[in-house]
Amino acid sequence: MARILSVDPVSRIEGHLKIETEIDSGVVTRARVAGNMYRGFERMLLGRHPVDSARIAQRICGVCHEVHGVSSVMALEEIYKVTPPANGLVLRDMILGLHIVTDHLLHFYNLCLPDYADFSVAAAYSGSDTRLKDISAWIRNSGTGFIGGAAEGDYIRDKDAVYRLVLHYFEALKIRSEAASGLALLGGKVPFIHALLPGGITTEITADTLMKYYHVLEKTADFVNNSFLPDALEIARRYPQYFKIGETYNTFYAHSSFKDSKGTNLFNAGVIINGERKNFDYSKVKELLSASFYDNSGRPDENRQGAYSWIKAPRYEGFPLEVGPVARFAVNNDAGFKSLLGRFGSTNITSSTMSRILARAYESVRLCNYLFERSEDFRLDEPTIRPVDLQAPVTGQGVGFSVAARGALVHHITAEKGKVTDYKMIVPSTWNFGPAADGKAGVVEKAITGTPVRFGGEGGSVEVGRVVRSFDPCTACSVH
Amino acid sequence: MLSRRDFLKKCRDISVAAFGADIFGAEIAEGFMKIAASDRPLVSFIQGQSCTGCSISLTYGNETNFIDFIMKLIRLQVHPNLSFSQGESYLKMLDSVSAKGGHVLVVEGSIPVKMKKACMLGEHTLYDELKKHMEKASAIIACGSCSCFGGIPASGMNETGAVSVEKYMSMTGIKKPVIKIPGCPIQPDRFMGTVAYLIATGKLPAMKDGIPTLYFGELIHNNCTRFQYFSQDIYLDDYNKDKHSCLLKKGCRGTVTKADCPTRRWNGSVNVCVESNAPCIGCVNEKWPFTSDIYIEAKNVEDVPWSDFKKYSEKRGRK
Ligand code: SF4
Ligand code: SF4
Repeated sequence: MARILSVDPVSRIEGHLKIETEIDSGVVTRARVAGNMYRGFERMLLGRHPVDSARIAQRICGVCHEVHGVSSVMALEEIYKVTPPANGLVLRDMILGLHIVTDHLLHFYNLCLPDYADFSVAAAYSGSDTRLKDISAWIRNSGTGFIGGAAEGDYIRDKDAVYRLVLHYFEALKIRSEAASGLALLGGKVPFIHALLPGGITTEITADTLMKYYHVLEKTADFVNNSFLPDALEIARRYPQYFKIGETYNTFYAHSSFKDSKGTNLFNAGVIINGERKNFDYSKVKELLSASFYDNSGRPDENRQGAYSWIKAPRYEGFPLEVGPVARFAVNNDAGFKSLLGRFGSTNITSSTMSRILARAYESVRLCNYLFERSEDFRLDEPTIRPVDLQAPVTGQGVGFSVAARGALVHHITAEKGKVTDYKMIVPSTWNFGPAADGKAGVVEKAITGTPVRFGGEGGSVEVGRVVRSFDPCTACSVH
Repeated sequence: MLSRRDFLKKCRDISVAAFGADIFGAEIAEGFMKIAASDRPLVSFIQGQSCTGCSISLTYGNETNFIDFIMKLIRLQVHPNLSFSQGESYLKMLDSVSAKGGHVLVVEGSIPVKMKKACMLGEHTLYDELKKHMEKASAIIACGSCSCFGGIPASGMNETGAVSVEKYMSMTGIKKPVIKIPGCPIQPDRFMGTVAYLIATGKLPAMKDGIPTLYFGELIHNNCTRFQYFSQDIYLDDYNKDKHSCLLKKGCRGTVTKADCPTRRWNGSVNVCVESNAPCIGCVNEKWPFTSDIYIEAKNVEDVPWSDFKKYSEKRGRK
């Protein structure tokens, strides 16, 4: 007899997400993923000045804040027919790259780690490390809240490992705020950088700014190399079964991003379907609405028959595609990541809960290395921006293909006589978390199906939580 | 007996680091000395139609360190992005805090009242659920421009009927003061400092229209480092060639926006919008993100719709 097990709301993610599963003989046989919050960005931008998008579209998400800003200005630059000067592109990469690393840190330590380590072990700490003493007092004083009520499960409980991971949980928050000051140096403030405009970055960048950024980057890279990657490998070593759990269709999609001064991309664009790599063709993307709360013309309809999610269902030639770091490495057939997976017995880059977690740590190392080099491309005496004429009543279309921690994204703007007439966004979590359509389950729905469920209780299933969080859900983005 | 000096120093060690505030300094410090860790208020966060930007901004911190804040000042019970519990057990935690009462309830994001399913809290709509979490709260804090005024979700045609926390409360008949801390996103010191003050003194801070005046009392313009350029009529024309002049002709709303951004600054106080050579877009304003264009550029300063300020300030002397 199948039983229903839901996790509603899913915590430790961005936004409002509900997971409903059917379980038969201890295995998930069917899953439904529902995005539960709608604001209507695409429609609230209609009729506005195109450049307002650069400010408003950033606010789709406060977690991947800079990503949407970059994507919208890329689209605006096509409309205004402007290319940023070399420095503008360097700064944009320095912002986006460092931002993605901080995003990965948040994901691994603050969102995922509580699924693997039992923090309450640290409450009994009796040694002399003042930081751990503080943490243990804090856990005891905060009572049942915050770290309490975790789902039943097979957590890491050996003291030394828990102590180390708990310390890193807090250190990650600290590194993130330092990195944020690195981003603010270039952009004014974060979340939501106001120095980012079509044509480049407005900020005056001095040698001092670069030194400070460099310093932040060094600290971040230190933590990534000495804590993040080893910790992720440790989790992988302790939970090898998750290389077989959480597999999707193994169809992937990525955009090209992070060019260096010689014009080589850190990631190339492409799609993998049936094991075959093809070039990405935007015209082959369709968003299906049958299970989403919209009528056929795309207007919100909270009572639509058969609908269960505010997320739409994007398909590429009919295929649901996985996006994110694994997709980036798969599309690029990345040798380094392959050999990392090889340590755990994989010969290919395939989709799984643990490969997604490892990919984030590995990608952070790669991005830090890239940023050290990329920041050297900055030329102190050259311009950072080619401003556009805000009073020109522009008409045209622009598409900005960019990249977020959790995958490829597109902002597509149409303007007529200086007003936005159409705004489309297809963002990473829309691909991953979209519902079923045309008889095909969404990407995460597919990933959850087949998950063995040994634990239950009020917190729902820890196992399902691990699979879902490995995608780093960003539900405000996915619905927008 | 501790000397006053030692006393204040000790207080700084235990708490001032945590609210980045010479601002409420002594008053807060004294209050904190009296509160045992186990008596600190329980705090729950609820997110409506939000982007999580305010919570993320809080975790970044500024002078105020978020880790100190949650470890030394409050007892954080429920936070959608941080809580270890999920699903039913998460909702139970939230319910138990609200049932006991006396908690500080922080609401991030707006509440849809027309299209109620546009925001859910578990199986139920946020609209139906929020009331019970507010009823017994000792304080309700509207965190960020969306929950203060409706913000982004309420802009444009507002398909979902998004409203502010205050509006929701008047619709559902809850009478209770709300502290509004606007900003898109919220600036961390302003939030943590306000909560610290509330806890330490048991009083509401000085407010105008529910907004703490200490943080939102004066125009950005008055403390802007570019004010000298403004007073000499030196306006920035080309972002590329000029990195220092007054941004008014580029649409800077610093002249109509009250907040301490130029002095408080952001992200470890390293920078702030105007210093990055970008006009203030007035993100703490009630009307943010406005119906007019965000950047209204002009050749003459008189053509900027909010440039009346200049005439006004010249007439009245510059405060
Ligand atoms: S108009 Fe803006 S840039 Fe100019 S002085 Fe005022 S706040 Fe500063
Ligand atoms: S300077 Fe203006 S736009 Fe920037 S944070 Fe302050 S109020 Fe918002």
